[in-house]
Amino acid sequence: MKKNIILLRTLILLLVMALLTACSGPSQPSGGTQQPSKSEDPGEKTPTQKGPTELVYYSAGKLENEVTEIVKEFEKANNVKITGVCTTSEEFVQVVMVAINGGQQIDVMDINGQDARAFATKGLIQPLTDKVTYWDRFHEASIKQYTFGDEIYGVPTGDAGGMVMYYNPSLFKKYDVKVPTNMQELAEAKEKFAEHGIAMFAHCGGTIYMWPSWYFMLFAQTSGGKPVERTIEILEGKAKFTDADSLEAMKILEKLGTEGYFQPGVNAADRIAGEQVFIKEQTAMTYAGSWQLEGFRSGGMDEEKLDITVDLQFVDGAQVRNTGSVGSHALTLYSKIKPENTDLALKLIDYLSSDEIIEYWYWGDYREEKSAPRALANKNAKVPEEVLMDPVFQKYAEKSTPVTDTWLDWYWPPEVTKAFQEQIQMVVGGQTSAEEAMAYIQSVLDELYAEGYDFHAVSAD
Amino acid sequence: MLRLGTDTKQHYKKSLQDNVIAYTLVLPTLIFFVIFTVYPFLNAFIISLTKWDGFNDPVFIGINNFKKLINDKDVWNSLSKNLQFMVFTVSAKVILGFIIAFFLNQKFRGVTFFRAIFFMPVIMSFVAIGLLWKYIFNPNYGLINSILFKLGLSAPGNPITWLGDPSLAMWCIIIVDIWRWTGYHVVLFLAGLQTIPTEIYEAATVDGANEWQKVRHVTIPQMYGIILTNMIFCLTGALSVFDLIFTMTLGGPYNSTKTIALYVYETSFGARNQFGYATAINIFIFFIVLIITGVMIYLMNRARDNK
Repeated sequence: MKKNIILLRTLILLLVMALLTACSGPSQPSGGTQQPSKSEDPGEKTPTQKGPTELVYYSAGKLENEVTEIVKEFEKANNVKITGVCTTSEEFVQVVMVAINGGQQIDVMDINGQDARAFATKGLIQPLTDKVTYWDRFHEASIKQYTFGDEIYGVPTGDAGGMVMYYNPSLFKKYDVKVPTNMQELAEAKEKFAEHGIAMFAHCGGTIYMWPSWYFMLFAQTSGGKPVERTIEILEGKAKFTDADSLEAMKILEKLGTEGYFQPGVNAADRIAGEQVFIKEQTAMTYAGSWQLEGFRSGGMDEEKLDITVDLQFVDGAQVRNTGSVGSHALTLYSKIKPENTDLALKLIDYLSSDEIIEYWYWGDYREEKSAPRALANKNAKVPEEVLMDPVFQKYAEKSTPVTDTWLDWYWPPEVTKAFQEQIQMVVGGQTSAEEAMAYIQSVLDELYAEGYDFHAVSAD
Repeated sequence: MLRLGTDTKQHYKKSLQDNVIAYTLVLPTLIFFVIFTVYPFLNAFIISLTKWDGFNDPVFIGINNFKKLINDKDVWNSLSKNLQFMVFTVSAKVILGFIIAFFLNQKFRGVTFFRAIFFMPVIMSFVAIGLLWKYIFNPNYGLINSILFKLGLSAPGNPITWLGDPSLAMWCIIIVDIWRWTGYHVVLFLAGLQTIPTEIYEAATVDGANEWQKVRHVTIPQMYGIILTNMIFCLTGALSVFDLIFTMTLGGPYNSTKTIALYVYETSFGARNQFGYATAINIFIFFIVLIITGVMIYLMNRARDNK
């Protein structure tokens, strides 16, 4: 009996300990950047102002150590701890969703344009039009990207980037092929390269969300250089995805896919595999991101092997335009932020989007490898002289950036984006026709209209 | 009478003490089970009756999500992928696992080494496995095609596209899943094989049974319980397969590898954020697993009883 009592007591003790352990988790959100404790610094000033002791900053794309570095001064000056919750763009919505449902603190969110529109529509972020006074700090185009309805929902940050047609000049020279400027020349080039087992285009078709970028570029040509305007007309219900210009863009993709312009197994290739077939000279061209330049360079593509062209017309006489963004991200304010945190959160947004911090962000001493120069959302942020200008990037900035339209999926509702991704993959793979694909995509939009979708509607919150 | 009454009283007292100890021992597990299994399940059922985007307040819509899923062809398409995956992985893993375990149960030099080799894929990260095999299957520079090129079985300009071919992609994933999990089932079968008393084999030998007859009439009947356990593990795994597909194909190409778990993931976190609907699909899958498992247990028990 005595043994049983001892056993019972031990069990109860273990249970209590287990419960205590379970209930004593860290209070900060998971994935948070560990910040140095200010109170441990003997030289730190005593807090003189009342206000929040912690702000939580959610970031899609930034790394934790980078956030830690750039907020140091702000923390010191305002005697506040900035907890950075850093995640990839793909996982960002999930992470925020979990945080909201878990009742975790969210103050500032650093998000891309696509998510910004969705978050504004869902009432998750506040209009900043009247809360921010320094709009003249940024290029107008970058502000426009975060203007939904009559309100600006995000303070632009980051750089301009986009897709561009890369090609391998040494391959063209080696096989005596002219760099194509139209479909006729493209077909001839494709035939010549095929004789040597080289495909025309590399693409990461398995990374399904990269397919629409091809459509954006082609639609820019088929729509007479007005892809954004035409997209807005479609989303307003004044035009359709089955209209001639939209359909033609998909038909070109159908032709490229079914006639073997892409590398074999294009729909199995992820981003790295897509890059590799270009680097390994198994393809002559690739329509890829400006951010992939560094990858091509580190893969051994020197100046003889890498260049860009903005002269390839898939539609005779069309203006060649690319797709991308000016100010890849925006700093936004959570709509359910605690009132006492709002002022300091706005101050943090101001700080993070300042010219000095943007310059430090890209080229600060803390970076082991300083990124290539970029065209920034901030008008006056300067590229340090010691940062070498890659000639291809210089060409991109001069020739492609001026003819770059905002990613069309920043305008599309997510359902349409998803439909485009899947349908393009199927069209390129010969699983469905361009007509069927566009009809399906229009049906997805029609379904949204039936559910009350309104392109201009943003949450009243 | 008085004596009998005292005995009964002591008996009840002893029984009560035993029960208290038993319940106390079970209690911690029970608490965790309720918190982490029963409550989430009930909560999920409530969510399945709502329209909820994961951000704003859910709206109660009754059984509309369940009505919707019956007419959702994507649900049935995804389930058909699970069915294909299930039929081939369950049978291959159980049969292969049993055969390999049978041989690894023999005494020979290096048996421990082989046991470790077969178990190794089980302890590898699914992301690492997914990425590894994605490169092996890469049509342009993958290991398999390189070998095929060298053997003259494929031309570099026209390679087999493996994960890019909708008719091959699911088979590739099935092969990887079998490769990954067979070792796990080998271990379970080995544990079962080692519990069979040697006397039964000796008796069978005395009765003149050959090796095959021993396997057929001694080993397999003795292993019914283990076979059933293995099949249930394989089955539930096949109906919830996600990780390999997520890392290898993301459900593509052309949805040819989109299983129900991936569809649920897309429905929850993809374009529409339809949490209520995705949860309804999960509840539906739960009952499918429940029914299949129940039928399997019934059939195995009947087979065992017939023996």
